[in-house]
Amino acid sequence: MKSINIILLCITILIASILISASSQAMTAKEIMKKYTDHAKVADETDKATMTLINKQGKTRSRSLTIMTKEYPGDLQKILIRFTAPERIDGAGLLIIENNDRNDDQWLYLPALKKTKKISTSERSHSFMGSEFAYEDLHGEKLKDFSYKLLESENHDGQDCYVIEAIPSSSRKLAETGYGMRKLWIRKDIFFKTKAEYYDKDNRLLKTELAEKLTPIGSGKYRMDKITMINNRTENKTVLDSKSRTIDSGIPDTRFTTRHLEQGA
Amino acid sequence: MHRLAFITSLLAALLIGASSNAGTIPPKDGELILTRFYTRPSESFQKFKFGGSFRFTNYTYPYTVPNTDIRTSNRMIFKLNMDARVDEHVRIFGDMKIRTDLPQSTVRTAVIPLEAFLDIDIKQFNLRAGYQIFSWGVADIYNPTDILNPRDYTDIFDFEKDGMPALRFTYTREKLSFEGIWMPFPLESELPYEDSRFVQPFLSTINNPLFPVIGIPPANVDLTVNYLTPPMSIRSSQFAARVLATVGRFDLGLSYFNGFEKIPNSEIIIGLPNPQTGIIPATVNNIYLREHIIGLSAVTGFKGLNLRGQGSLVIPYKTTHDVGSADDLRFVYVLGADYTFFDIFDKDDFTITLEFVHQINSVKQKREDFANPFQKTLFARLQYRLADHFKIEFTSIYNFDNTSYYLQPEVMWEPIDDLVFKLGANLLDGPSDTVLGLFDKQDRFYVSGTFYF
Repeated sequence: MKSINIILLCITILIASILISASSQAMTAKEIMKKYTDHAKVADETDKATMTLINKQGKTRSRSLTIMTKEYPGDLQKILIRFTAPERIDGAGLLIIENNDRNDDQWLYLPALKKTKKISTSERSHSFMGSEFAYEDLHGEKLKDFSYKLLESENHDGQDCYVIEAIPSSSRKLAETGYGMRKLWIRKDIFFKTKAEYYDKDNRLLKTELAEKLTPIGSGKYRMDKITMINNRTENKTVLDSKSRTIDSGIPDTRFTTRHLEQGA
Repeated sequence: MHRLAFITSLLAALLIGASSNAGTIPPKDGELILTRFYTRPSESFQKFKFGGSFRFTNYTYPYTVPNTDIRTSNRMIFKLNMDARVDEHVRIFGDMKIRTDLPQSTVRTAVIPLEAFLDIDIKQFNLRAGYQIFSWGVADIYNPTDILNPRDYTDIFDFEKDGMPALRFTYTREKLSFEGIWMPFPLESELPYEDSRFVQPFLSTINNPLFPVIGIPPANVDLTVNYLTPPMSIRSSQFAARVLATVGRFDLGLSYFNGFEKIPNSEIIIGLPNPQTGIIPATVNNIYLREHIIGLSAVTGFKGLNLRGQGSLVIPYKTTHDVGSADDLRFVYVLGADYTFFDIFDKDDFTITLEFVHQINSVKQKREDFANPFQKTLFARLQYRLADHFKIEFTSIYNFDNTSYYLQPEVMWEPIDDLVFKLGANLLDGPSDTVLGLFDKQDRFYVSGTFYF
């Protein structure tokens, strides 16, 4: 009788595994990306990081920055980026407020002038502070702006990943972005992005993003503490190293105002 | 020096107070920032940081001027700042500069407070008390509402703001903020040294000579120069208020300032010649006029094109002094636009900025003077930046009223982080009775190095 029970248990586990596997295989690219964004999303987040710019010859420049983000209804974000080093740009800040019906609002604070400047954002594609990251790379994934296609499954860095193709879903989005297509490697077990390739509008490889140092942040969610963006054309790269992170700390809305931006601290 | 003593004692008092009061709030891990120049004084601070810069500039002048034969000069500026965040509500900030000029054989040093304030944040409210620098208005190059602070005009091409003792209250909602400022006593701008190149010979056609001593008066004039600064009393206090709002695509602003001009208007009184000697007594009274300034501003952007407009209505108080038409109502507006072309070759960009300034006067044919310098003028700036480490900039001013102009080409290079070199020139010309023309022999070339720490 005991051996029958064990056999039944094994059969049950096997069936369950098959069902789970079948169900995940049947997921569409959009569903995978929805799971990815759901797993990545937090109410608010503060990241203290260093950004190291490394050129082809190996010469480095380093910036310290704090990135503060908060989610708002309608899948919108507010982002405050504050530089703390080097000294020349200490206190410089960028406030980004996403809008549904028009381009983002952006304000740049320059401590040397003690002045905030509103800047129009027709393009998100240009380089962020001389790095290999573009401004658009700082924003969260916007599912409505892209069409997704599941290309294949691939083992990356010892982990099973979905390889998803993302292309802009409208001509307006295509005009805004610097990428004609992106390939995203999403881990099957935790629905987290570990690699991405960025292609230009002529389908040539522009940049490769590699994520390392997986860190759990609670509630089954993760972050990568080290992200490297490699420019495949120039061979320059930028490494974003997270030094400390605070999740869901209830950042007050007043942090995302030009007044706070001007306080420089 | 009394300003420096005030600022030092204020900072010391604030630091001691903050250090002793904040002991109950432990610092969070990883939030204490220390530089190599500093050892931690107290566990009480969430953040404590020293920073600063040292700049050396050499100026070379191709022309001699009547007031001095100096053709080359050096200026050193040492800046030091301290930023202490006691907790999430309280911050103490101090910033000062030491400026040393080496014109030739003489050395002049000045210690100038820039900022020293206590910041208290409670929800949407902020109170800031102490020396402060304000930056009002939206125009990039010439800003007629940015008038709260005095400036350091010892170098007329590089006039940084000086701090102003003030109490500022701010209330902020998501898309709306209100700011009220009270400045208990007025401070005037620092003017060029008596023997500076920038002090000009007396020109009767200029209403406001700006400078403390008229260069070389005619031999038959006995000149007396008086500075009629506002009294240091509560009646001389100044105040300002501003409302800023974001409405759709627009950032809108409405401001009001009631205070003194920071550079003087001059009243020139010429007496009758002495019958025995033939000497003519002349008196120049430099007067700081009080005025109301109402400002309006709007900024928006469209497909990468940034557009801004700003106007200020200046209503001077009536004065018994004869300062020409300086006490007449005037309206100055600025219309500006800029556009940036990104990633032209690699991580570079090119920005074009244009601003047109126009002044409408209640008195027709108002003469140009230092209070009314740019009555119909185009400002332009071209900037090419390569990855934030190399910049070529060209700034120009052209006055349509009198064809005077100013040009400033400049190259900036940052070979390593926090070391910046600049090479540039200040070039100007115009009729001798115009503000720019008055300085047409002040063309110069400069090279500077700045180290930030």
